Amino acid sequence: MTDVSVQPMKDSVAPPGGGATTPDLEVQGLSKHFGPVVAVDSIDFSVASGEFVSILGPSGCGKTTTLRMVAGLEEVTAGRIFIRGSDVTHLPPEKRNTAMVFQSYALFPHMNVHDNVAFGLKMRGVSKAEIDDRVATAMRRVRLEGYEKRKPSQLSGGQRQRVAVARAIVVEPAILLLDEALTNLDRRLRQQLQLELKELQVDLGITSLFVTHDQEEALTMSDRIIVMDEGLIAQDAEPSEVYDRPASAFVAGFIGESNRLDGSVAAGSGETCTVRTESGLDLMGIHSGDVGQQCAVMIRPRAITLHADRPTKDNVIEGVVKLWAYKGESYEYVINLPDGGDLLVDLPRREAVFERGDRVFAAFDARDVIVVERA
Amino acid sequence: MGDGTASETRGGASRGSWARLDRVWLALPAVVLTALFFIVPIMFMGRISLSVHESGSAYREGTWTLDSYTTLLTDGFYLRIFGYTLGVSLLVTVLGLALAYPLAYWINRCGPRLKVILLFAVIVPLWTNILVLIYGWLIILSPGGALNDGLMSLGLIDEPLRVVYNTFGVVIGIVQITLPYSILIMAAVLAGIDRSLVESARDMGASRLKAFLHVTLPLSAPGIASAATVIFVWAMGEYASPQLLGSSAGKFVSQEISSQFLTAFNWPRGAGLAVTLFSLIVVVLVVAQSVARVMARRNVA
Repeated sequence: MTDVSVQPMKDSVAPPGGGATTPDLEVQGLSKHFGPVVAVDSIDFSVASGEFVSILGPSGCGKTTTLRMVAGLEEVTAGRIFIRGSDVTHLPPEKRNTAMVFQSYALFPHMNVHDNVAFGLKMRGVSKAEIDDRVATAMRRVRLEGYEKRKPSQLSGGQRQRVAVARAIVVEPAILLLDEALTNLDRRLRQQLQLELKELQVDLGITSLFVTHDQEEALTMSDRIIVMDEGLIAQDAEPSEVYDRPASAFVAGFIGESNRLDGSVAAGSGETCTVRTESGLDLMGIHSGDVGQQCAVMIRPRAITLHADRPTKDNVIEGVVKLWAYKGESYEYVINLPDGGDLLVDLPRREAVFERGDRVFAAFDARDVIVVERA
Repeated sequence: MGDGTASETRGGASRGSWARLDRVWLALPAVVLTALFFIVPIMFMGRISLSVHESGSAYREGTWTLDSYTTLLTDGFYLRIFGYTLGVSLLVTVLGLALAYPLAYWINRCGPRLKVILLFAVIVPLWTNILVLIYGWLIILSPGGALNDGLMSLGLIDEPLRVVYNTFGVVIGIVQITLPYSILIMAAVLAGIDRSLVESARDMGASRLKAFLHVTLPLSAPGIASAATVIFVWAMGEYASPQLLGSSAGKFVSQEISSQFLTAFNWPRGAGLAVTLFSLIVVVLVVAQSVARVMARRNVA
């Protein structure tokens, strides 16, 4: 999946035009204010040629506004946008060579599928013969041959989504923009289309910027994830790094499930440190923070094992099984800790043989303890 | 309103005939009202138009003749009245749409608060009696009125402009009366067009104008058609505007109907005029609809 992985360029502030390494999209100090509300607060990022980058964040974090500014559908308050090295900050949307897949798909209801897909080419003054040729290719790519004469209203949600993708890729845009493009589909179809879309993107080598609030989707599809929170970039890194080494408590909480315990660094030596939680537990984690620093400890439910007898592990917490739930692939346990807090544990099937009220030892390695600074 | 009640009771198959019965009962009030207030009077009118006229009374009951229709369809006097009514109505329809569409488009693009204020301003004339509106225009437009006084005192004109008591005045009157309706209809249709469709068109490379021509305009066609129908039908039946703002040389059908019933006391001819006017409206609407359908099909192909 990561055969097109590219080094993150989060710190590049040099103006574009540096020859072969010019990214397809470069955003510098981009801001958007709606009256007194700061939707996007001076963010920088870039997308290299052929890269698939997701902007991930909760609703209202500014991700869609960012995408719309790149498309030219939203005025920029401050900052600059470069597409393939040229400044497009103040160009109207039709002059930007971007193509967007809208959350609602935004297919033209009065045109059939063929005319929908042909629209961008028609606007670009492409000859009729070439339009027919390229539309046919795009329809094949999204596996919708034979649907050309249908109206959008005669298609299923998944088919409409494919038409929207075909309409976008047929113009061979500099950047494909996807705004929650899979959100309106049911789960099974969404997972299937995630893979199809990713395959298509790799095949065509099309530079893509994908906005989503679905962390699983972002992890599955992206070469790089930009996590946004309250108009700022919280982290800009490869999916595995965002998951394993979240830059903040927000990122750790947003990407995947985790148990969060607040505390401060009690001792540190080299790679490892000891964190004393507010409830008085001492946990070993990997971090090189200063002693006394306020921090949050994040532990993934999958990283924790449960034992009837005290095991020898870096971290062991004693607790009582409060409840458990069968989740198909695994069992989910809620362990009641002595301080009254709960610990979520996710155990593989059949490894779990504990009942409500059982006294257990929850154990996890120091390398699974993510220590992040707390604001 | 009748079709709303009828379509909402789409029962499941298990309820079968009961559901169908429900639907009939629910539609009944609408059917009865329509019959009582629209169909029955038209049938009365039709019957009277086929009676023999008798001087001294309205018509002779129980008689049958086509006299009033042969007169109406051969006498140049009546044909001119029909021609004038039709011509002015078509002109008013075109002008009304040309004014209402840009206004509705602009109102729809305003922010939510301004939009409410503007739509309110559009509705206010509907609260006023039509005669009051027309006398208002007379105060402004008549030879000694505000417009001419103003222009003459500015030295822009030497003689009063002839803007009332002619076709121009009639057109102004009907356009003004129908404008709120057509604006409301088209604003509603424009508001129903998903903004992301226009954005998508722009993103796909369409300029503002092309996005309007390829997306907004075709999608607002139903609103244009509805508004055109309302304006046209209203204009064809208009009485007050030609009576007060027009001249005696340009008569509308409804004025002639009134004089046949009330002055000449020739009920069969008056009724014949009414039925012919009604038929003419239906014919024009049917023709317009089929033309629109053919054009739409050609557009799609």
